[in-house]
Amino acid sequence: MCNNQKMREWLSAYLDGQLSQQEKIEVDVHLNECNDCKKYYAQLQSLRKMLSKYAQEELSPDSEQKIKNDFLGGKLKREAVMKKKILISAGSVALTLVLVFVFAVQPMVKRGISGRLKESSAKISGGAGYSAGSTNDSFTVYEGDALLATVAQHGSASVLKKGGAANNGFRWESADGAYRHTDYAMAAKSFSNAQSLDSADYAVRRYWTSASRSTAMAPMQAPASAQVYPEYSDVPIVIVEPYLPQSGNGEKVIYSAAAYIKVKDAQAAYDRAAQITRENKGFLGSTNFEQTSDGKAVAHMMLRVPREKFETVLNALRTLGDVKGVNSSNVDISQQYQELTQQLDNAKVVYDKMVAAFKDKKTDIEKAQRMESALTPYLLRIEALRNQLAVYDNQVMMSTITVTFEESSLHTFLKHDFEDIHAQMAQKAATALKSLALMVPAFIAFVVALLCALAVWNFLKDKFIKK
Amino acid sequence: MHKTDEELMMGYRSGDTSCLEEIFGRYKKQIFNYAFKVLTNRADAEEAVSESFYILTGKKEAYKPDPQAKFSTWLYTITHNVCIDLIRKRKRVIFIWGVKRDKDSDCEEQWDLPDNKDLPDQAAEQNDCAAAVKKALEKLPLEMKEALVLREYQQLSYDEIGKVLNCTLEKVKILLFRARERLRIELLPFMKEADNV
Repeated sequence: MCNNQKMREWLSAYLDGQLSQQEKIEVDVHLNECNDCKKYYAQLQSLRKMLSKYAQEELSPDSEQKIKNDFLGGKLKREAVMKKKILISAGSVALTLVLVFVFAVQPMVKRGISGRLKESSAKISGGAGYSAGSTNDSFTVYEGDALLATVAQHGSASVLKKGGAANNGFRWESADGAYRHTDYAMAAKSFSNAQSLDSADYAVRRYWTSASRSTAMAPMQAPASAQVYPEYSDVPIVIVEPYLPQSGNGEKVIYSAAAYIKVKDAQAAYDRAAQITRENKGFLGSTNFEQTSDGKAVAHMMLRVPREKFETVLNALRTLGDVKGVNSSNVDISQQYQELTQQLDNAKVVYDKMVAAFKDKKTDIEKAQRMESALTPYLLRIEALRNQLAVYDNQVMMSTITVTFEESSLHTFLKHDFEDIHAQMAQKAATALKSLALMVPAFIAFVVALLCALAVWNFLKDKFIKK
Repeated sequence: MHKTDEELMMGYRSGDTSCLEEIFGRYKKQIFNYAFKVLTNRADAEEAVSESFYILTGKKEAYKPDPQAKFSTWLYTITHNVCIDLIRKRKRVIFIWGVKRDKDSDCEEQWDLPDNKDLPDQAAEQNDCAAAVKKALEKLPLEMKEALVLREYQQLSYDEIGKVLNCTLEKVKILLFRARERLRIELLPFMKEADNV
C-alpha cells in the first residue's frame, strides 16, 4: 500500500480539478504506476458518488412560504416577536425573582429582623433587670426549686424561687418588721404571705452585714401587706412591696462614695460639681486643685450631701465625664450607735446617782475636790459619748462623696477618637457584611433567574414562536 | 431577460422586492441544503435560511458588487455565520437543560431517501448507505463538514470555500483531504465499485 501522504492530498485536489498543470501530470504518472493510489482514487470517486446520491433536500411549500413571510414580511413582525420574547423573558425573570425572594431572601430578612428584635429586647430586658434593682419598689418571690434570677444588687428588688440554694436571698424579721439581705440561700417551703415568712422553715446561714456589701440594700421596713396571685396555682407568687429605706430613722447607716472621673476641663467639672452639691442642699467639705507635671489639671473634692440626695448627686456627677471608677459603701453603725446610746444612758445614770449622793452634803474642800474628781471621768465619758453620737448623726444625715476630676491627656482623647473611629468602622463593616449576606443570595437568585429565563425563552421560542 | 445575482441584488437595493424573491427562488434550495447538512436538523436549517435572508435584507446597503467575489459566496458566508450562531445557541440549550435536543425524537430528521419500492433489496441497501453517509457526515468536525458540503453539494471552488470559511487555500485543501479520508474509512464497506478496480 502506497502511503504517500502528499500524493493522497494531491489526489483529493485532483478529484476536484484544483491542481496545477505540473501537479496534474505528476499525479497522472503516479496513478499509472501505483495500484494502491489508483484504488485510493477510485474510492474517492466512489465516495463522491455516494454523497451525490443524496444531495438535494427540498423545502416544504409551507416552510418556504413561512420563510418568505419571515424576511419579506418585514422587520415589524420580527420586532413583534422580539417584543413578545422580551416580555416572556422579563415575566419569567420577575416571577422567578419573586419566588426566589419569597422562598429564600425573605426568611433571611425575617431572621435578621427577629435577630435584631431579640437583641433589642435582650437589651431592654437587661436594662430593665438592672434598673429594676434601683427603681422598682417591689420584688417577687417565687416558690419552686431554684433561684431563677436575682436583681438584688441594688437591694430593692429580687426574684427568688423557693427551695433552691442561691445567694442573695432574703430573710424576714417579723419582730421588728424589717428584713435583711443574706449571703446564703434559704430553703423556704411556703411563702404564703409576708407575715409568715419568718415562721417558714428556711434556714438563714448568715446575716448579711452592711459592711460586707458595697452597693447592697439598705434595711427596709417590712411590707405592710403581701398579695398572693392564685393564677399560678403551682407557684404561688408573693409580691412584697417594701418601703423606701429611711436612713436615720431607727437605723444608722453611713453612706459614702469615691468617684474618679476623667474630664476635658477640670475647672468646669469642679464648678458644675459645686453647683450640683449646692442645688441638692449639700456643701463642699474640702477641695484641692492641682496641676500635674504634664500640665493636666486635677480637682479633688469632698462633697457632703443629705442622705436622701446621695444617689441623685452621684448620678449627676457621673454625667460630667468619663467615669473611670466609683466606689460606694454604706456602713451600718446601728449597733454601735445603740451601744453608745446605752453607754451614754448608763453613764448618765451613774453620774446622776453620784450627783444625787453628793448633793446637799456638807463637806470640806478636800472632800469636795475628791468628789468632783470622782465625777469628772463620768462627765468626760458622757461628753465623749455625746460627741461621738453627734458625729455619727452627722455622718448618717450627710453622706460624703469624694470625687476626683482629672483632665484627659491628648493621647487619651486621640485614643478615644481612634476607638470611636474603629467602632464606626466595625459597625460599617458589619453593615456591609449584612448587606453582602443579602446581596450574595440575591445575586445567585438573579443568575438562576436569568438562566431559567433563558431556558424558558429558548423553549417557548422553539415550541411556539418559531412555528 | 436573465439577470445575474449581482444585478438582482442591486435591483433589490434600489427597492425592487421582486428581485429579492428572485434571489430567494434561486438560492433557497442551496442554502437550505447547506444549512441542513451542517446543522443536521430541518427546523434549524429552515431557521438558518430565514435568518440568512433576513440578514441579507438588513445588509443590502452594505453590499457592493465585487468582480473578485460572487454574490453566492457572500450569501454562503452569511449562512455560515448563521449556522455557527445556531450551533452555539444549541450548545447553550444543551448546557442549560443537560440533554442534546437533537436526540429528541421530535427533532430527529431523516434524509429524503430515493423511493425504490420495486427493488426492495436495493432500496434497503441504499437506505443503509444513506444512513451511513449521514452518520459519517455528522461525525465530522464542523469546519471539515462545512468544507466538504460546500465542495460536494454546492460545488464551490477552493477559493470560494476559503472566502466563506475565512481560511487559506491550503487549509481548504487539508480540510477536504481530511474530511474525505475520514469518510472513506467510515464508508469503506459500501464502496463495492472501488473494490473492483
